[in-house]
Amino acid sequence: MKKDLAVSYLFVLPALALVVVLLLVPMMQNIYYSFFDWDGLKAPVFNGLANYTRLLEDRDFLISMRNTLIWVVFTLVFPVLGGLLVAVFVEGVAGERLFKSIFFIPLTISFVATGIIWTYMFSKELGVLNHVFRLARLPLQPSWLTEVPLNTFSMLIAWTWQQLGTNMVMFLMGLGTIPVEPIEASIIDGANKFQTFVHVKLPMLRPITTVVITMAMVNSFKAFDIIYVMTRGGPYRSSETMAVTMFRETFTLFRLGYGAAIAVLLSVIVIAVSSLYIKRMAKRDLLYY
Amino acid sequence: MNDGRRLLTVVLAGLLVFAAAAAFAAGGKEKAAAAPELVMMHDKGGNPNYQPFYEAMGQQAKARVGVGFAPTPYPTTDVFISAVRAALPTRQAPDLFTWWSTYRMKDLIDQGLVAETTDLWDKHKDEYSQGLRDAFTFDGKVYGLAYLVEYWGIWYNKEVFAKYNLSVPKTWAEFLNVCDTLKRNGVTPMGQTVQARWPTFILFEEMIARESPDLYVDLCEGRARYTDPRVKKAFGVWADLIAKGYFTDPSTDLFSDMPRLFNQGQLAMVPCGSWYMTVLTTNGVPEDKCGIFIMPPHNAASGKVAILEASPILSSANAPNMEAARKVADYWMGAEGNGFFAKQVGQYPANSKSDTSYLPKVKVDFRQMLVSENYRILNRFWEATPTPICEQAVDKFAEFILNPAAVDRVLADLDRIAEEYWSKNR
Repeated sequence: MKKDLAVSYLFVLPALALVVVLLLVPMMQNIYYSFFDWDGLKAPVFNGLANYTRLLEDRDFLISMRNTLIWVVFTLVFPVLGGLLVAVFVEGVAGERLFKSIFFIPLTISFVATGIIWTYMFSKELGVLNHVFRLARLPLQPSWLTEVPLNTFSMLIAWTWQQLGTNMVMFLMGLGTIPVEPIEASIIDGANKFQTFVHVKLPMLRPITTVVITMAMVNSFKAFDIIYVMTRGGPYRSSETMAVTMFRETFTLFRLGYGAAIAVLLSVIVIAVSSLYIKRMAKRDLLYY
Repeated sequence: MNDGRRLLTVVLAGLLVFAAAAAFAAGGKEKAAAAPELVMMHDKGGNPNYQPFYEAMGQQAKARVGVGFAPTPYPTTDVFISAVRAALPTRQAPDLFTWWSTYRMKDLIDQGLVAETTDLWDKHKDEYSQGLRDAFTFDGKVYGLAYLVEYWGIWYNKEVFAKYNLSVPKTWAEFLNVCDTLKRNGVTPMGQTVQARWPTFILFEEMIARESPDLYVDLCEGRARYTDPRVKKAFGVWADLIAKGYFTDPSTDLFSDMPRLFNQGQLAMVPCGSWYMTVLTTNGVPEDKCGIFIMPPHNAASGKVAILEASPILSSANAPNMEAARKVADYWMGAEGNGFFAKQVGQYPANSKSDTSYLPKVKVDFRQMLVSENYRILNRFWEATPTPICEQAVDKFAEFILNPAAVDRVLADLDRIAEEYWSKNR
C-alpha cells in the first residue's frame, strides 16, 4: 500500500513540478514585485503599498475598470444569453447541424484573425459596414474604433460574434442531457413551449449554465487579444480593460511593479467573483436536487 | 509485475528521458561551437516586413566575413521592446538587435547593456558625418552602428497634383491653398491616424518644429514646457487644419488604408519618413506617382528644418558571441555592407561612401535639396525625448486629434507627464 502511494507520488511529481515552476513561482514573484518600483532595467526599489494606492487615483486605471465591467456585463447578456437562445431555437429544427456549424465556425478562427477581420469591417472609409450604410442611403458613417465609447461596443460585437458559438454548443450539450419525462409531464399538464423552457428546461440546465457563466466571466475579465489587435486599448487609453492596462503598464511604460499590482488585483477579482458564483450555484443545486 | 519492479521501471524510464534530453542538448552545443550563428532580433516582422532583407544581409555577411546571423522578427514594436529588454541582462541576450537612437538607446546604455563600438566608428570615421556620430555618442563613447538614415517629409501624389494644376508649396499660404483645392475637389488632402498609437507624433513634431526648431529641441529635452504659449499656438494651427477637414478619418491605417487611398487618388499627401516610399510601392503605387517635399513653416521665422531618423543596430554587452558580432558590425558599418542593406530596402545608407545609384530619383533629389539648401536637421520625436514621456505623449496627441477642443487639458496633461519625468531625471 505504501509502495503504491510512493509510485503514485512519483507519477504526480512531473506535473506538480511544472505547476510549481511555471505557475506558482511566477505568481509569487508577481506578488513580490507588486511592492516595488521597477522599470525592468534598474534595481527594484521597495515602495510598500504605493502601487496599490496609486490604482485608486489613476484616471486611466479607473476607465479600464469601468470598461472591464462593461465587458463582463455585455458578455453575460449577449454571448451567454444569445448562445442560450440560439441553442434553444436550433435544437431539433430541420438543418440543426448546419445552423450549429454556422454559429460555431467563428470560434475556430483565432482571436487575432477575428480582430483583424473586424478591424477591416469597421474601417470608416473602406469598411463593409459603413459601405452598407452608404448603399442604404443612411446618414450614418460612424468611426467604429475611434469614437469613445463606441469603440468598446464595436469590439464587443466582434467578441460576441466569436464567443456565441461556444456557449451555444455548451447549452446544446446541456439540453441533450435533460430527460424527456419532465418535459412530457409539463406538456401533459398544459404548459406551452415557453413555460416548459422557463420552468423545466432552464432550471435543469443550471449545472451547464454555471459552467458557461463562470467561463464567460473569467474570459471577459481577462479579455486582451482582440482589444490589442483592434485598438491597442486606444485611442488615448479609452478602450483598455484591466488586462490591457496591465500589459501596457508593464511592457510599454515599463512600470513593472505597477503592472504587477494590476495583475494581482485582477486575479483576486476573478478568483473571488467566480468562486463566489460557483459556491452559490452549488448550494442552490443541492437544494434543487 | 511486483511493486519494486514497477518503481524501478518508472525510475529507469525517467532516467532515459533525462539522458536523451542531455544528449540532445550536448549535441546542440557541439554544433553551436562548430558554427556559431548570431541571433539578430528586429522589430520589422509585421508591416513593413524587413525579414527577407535581414536574411539577405545575414547571408551576405556570412559570404563576406564568414559570420552570418539569423534574424528573429517581432510583429509589433511593443512586443519587440519587451522581448529585447527582458533578454539583454541575461546570457540569452541577442548578439545584435535593431533599436532607436538617442533617448531610446540611453536607457540601455545607462544600465551597461550595450557593447561599445568606439573603435569601429574610429576605423570608419571618414565614412560618417560627425553629426551622426554624435547621435550615437554617450559620455564620449560611441555605441552601435547606424544602418539607415531617413528624413521626414510629405509624400504627395504627383498625378493628383498635376490633375488639379498644383505645384509643391513653398510657403504656408501656398500649402493651405493646395489643401483647400484638393478638399474642394473631393480629395482628402492629408493622412492622419491614431491607429497603432505612435503615428500621432508625426503632425505634432511638424507643427512644433515649424513654429520654432529651438522650441522643439527644448521641449524634447525638458527646457521648455508644454504649456508654453508657442506650443499652444502650434496646436492651434494643427486644430485649424483638422477643423477645415484636411485630414483622413483618424481610424485610417497608415500602412494598409493610406497607400490604397493614395493610389486611387482619394488621398493626396501622407506626412511620413522617406522610408514610406517602400510602403507605397510595395502596396502597388507606381514609383513615378510619388513625390516628397518638406512641409512649409507656418511660422516663417522657423527657417528650413527637416526631421531625421537614424536607425541603429546595437550589440548586447552580454552577447554570447561578442567577437563574431563585432565582425558583422564592422562589415555592416563599411561602405559595402551598409550599401548592401540600404539597397535591399531602397533607403538611404548611413555610410556616406556607400553606393546610392539604386535610389530612385525622387529620393536622390530630396536628400540633395536638404544638403544644398542647408536645412537644419532635428531628431525625430520618438528618439529625441525620453521614452516614458514619448509613450504617454502619443496617447495625448491622439486625444487632441480626436477632440481638438480639449487642447488645454491635453497640454496640461503633457506638462504633468514631462514634469514627472524631469523632476526625477534632470
